[in-house]
Amino acid sequence: MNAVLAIIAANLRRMRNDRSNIFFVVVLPLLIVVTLGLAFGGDTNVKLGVVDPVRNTATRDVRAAISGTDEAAAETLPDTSRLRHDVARGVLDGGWYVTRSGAGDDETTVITWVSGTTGNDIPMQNVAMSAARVASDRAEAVRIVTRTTGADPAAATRAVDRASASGPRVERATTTVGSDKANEDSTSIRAVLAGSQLSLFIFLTSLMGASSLLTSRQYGVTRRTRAAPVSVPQIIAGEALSRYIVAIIQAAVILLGSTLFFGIDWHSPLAVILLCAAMALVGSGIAMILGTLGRSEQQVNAISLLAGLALAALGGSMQPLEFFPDVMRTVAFCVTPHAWMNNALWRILIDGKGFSAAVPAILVLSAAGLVLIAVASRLLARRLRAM
Amino acid sequence: MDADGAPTLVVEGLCKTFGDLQAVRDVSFTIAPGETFGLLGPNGAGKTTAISMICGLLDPDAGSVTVCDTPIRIGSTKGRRHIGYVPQELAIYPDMSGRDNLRFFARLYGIRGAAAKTRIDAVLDVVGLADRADDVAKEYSGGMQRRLNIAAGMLHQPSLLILDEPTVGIDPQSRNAILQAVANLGDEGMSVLYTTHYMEEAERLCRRVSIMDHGVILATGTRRELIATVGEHDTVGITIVGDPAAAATAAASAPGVTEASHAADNRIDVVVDAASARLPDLLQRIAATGVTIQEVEVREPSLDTVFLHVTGTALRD
Repeated sequence: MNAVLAIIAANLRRMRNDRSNIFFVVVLPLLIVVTLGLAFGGDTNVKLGVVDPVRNTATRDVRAAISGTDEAAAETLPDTSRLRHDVARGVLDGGWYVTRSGAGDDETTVITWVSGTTGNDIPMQNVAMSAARVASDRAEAVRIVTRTTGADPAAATRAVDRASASGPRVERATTTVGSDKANEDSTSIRAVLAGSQLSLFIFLTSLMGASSLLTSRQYGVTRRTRAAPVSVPQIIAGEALSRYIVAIIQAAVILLGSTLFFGIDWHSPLAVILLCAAMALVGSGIAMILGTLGRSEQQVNAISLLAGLALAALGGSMQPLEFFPDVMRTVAFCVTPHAWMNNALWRILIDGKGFSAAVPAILVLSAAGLVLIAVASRLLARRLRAM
Repeated sequence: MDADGAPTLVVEGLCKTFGDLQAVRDVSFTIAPGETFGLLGPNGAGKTTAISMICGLLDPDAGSVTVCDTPIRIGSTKGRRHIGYVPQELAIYPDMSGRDNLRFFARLYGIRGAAAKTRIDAVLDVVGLADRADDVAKEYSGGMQRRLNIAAGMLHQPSLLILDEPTVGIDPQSRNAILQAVANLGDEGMSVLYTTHYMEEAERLCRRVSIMDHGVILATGTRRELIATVGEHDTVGITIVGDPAAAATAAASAPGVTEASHAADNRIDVVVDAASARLPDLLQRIAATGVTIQEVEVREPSLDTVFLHVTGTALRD
């Protein structure tokens, strides 16, 4: 046991001695979580622009309906070109402008919605259009009362209002499946973003540790360790646990850092921790294989970086899997561990599922990790015995 | 031999073949407690292969290795605690400090806590690295790294320290420090197996040596025994003022002298057995001829000479 602990301690000390590791393991992941959180998850209020030179009852009703949702802020803009410009640049999620056509009884108020690329404005567009329809129906009702009873418009309007107040009261409520939880709690979005970084960095950090296994051999220390009263299984255990502990440290930094500093709620912490532990197994196994088969530090580092980023991108750590075509999703689940972890995190954090939603991913990742570590151990044992 | 007379290391009939190459053939020798034993041979002689088998890193095709009465086998860690191995190439972490490197090796041998600190400080003193112990090893000079390499091998106070060409490619100052440290180990009772292709190192450190070439041990013994085996004698060069022919004749009559000749520059060369013992009588006889002796130089036959005799070739580098 002493020998295993000695190998682990030496690997961790070597990692600590390389100052750049502090940046890559601690600073960079948290920095990315913060940046993504600020960019996508900070403010869930929909930003809208309004150009309303008409200002009649109908347009006031539309604006009141939007304000009544408490989910959007509407800013009055001077003209439509400014509105289009701000929406196009993403300053605003969307907006509307009002024009008038015809005159007298034929006068028509036209409300045109300007939609942005984020899609955040779509619920508000529905609210606005619904309010516009109500206003239109009310105006039509007033016109009918005026025409049929000869009453003046003000009296007709009062009569219509009384009539509509006597009917059953209808309140508007909307829900979007899969995103209601996110709308309720903006930290869910941050959690998803942090989760995608969890899978990316656990795997990448594990792989970047592959070179230290290689350099231990190149420096002759592994051979010398074999000459000590240390068995081959002890050396393998020491090296495997070193990789695993580094991956777990990486996970802990992101989990604790994002929880303590940014208030991220992981909803089912046990599931997330077990997902991290399983992902670390996969990363450790692949790192050991790379470190055993690699021929030079440069080669191993290049492969690690490339594989770490490419698999992360394919596995939904840079863009949610939900945005992928079905074929790509299938490929992602076949070749990347990230897809399993990210999908499980999505189900917990966005769909609001519990621990059970993560179980398949935990089992698949654990099994894959154990198989990879077994293969790596066999390869390393063969190499150690040939020294 | 230790208290009950058993040697620290017993190597018997070691053989190892790689493909068509018979790297080690029937190598046998023993090392007594406290003895520094030299394994001499040129690069490619099979020394490192033999050492790999002695350390349990390589399975012999035939033969056995016993250290402190414990058989050494590749699959077993038994007996390895008795061995300190200092490989030919550096085997340290350059990205850790000297002290951290030693702490790592101490833990491999189960030395921890206060005991580890004491031993680490002690070996750092022995190899002269105490004042640089906390510097990262890659900042050390080549000689300092070599000394750290050796310190790691002696940390756990092994019964047998194996040094595989520890002075290759280092500056004279570090080389001298290493040789002094090894000499002290022998004085402290540690057995040392020292491989080198520098004959002068073996002559300085080792009580007995084996000469090895092409995987075979060609001769084993003390320096004097090996020299006697090949029939070599000491040569005394004497510079005189006077008649060199008369001086040479007088020298030839002295006991133990096998040959005496003179050159034109008033110098005579006398081949004599055990020159140090016979020198006073020899010089007295020469002085009696009336010549003035100006300078005397005694040249003893070296292991280089023995190696030349045994292998038929000069030591390859």
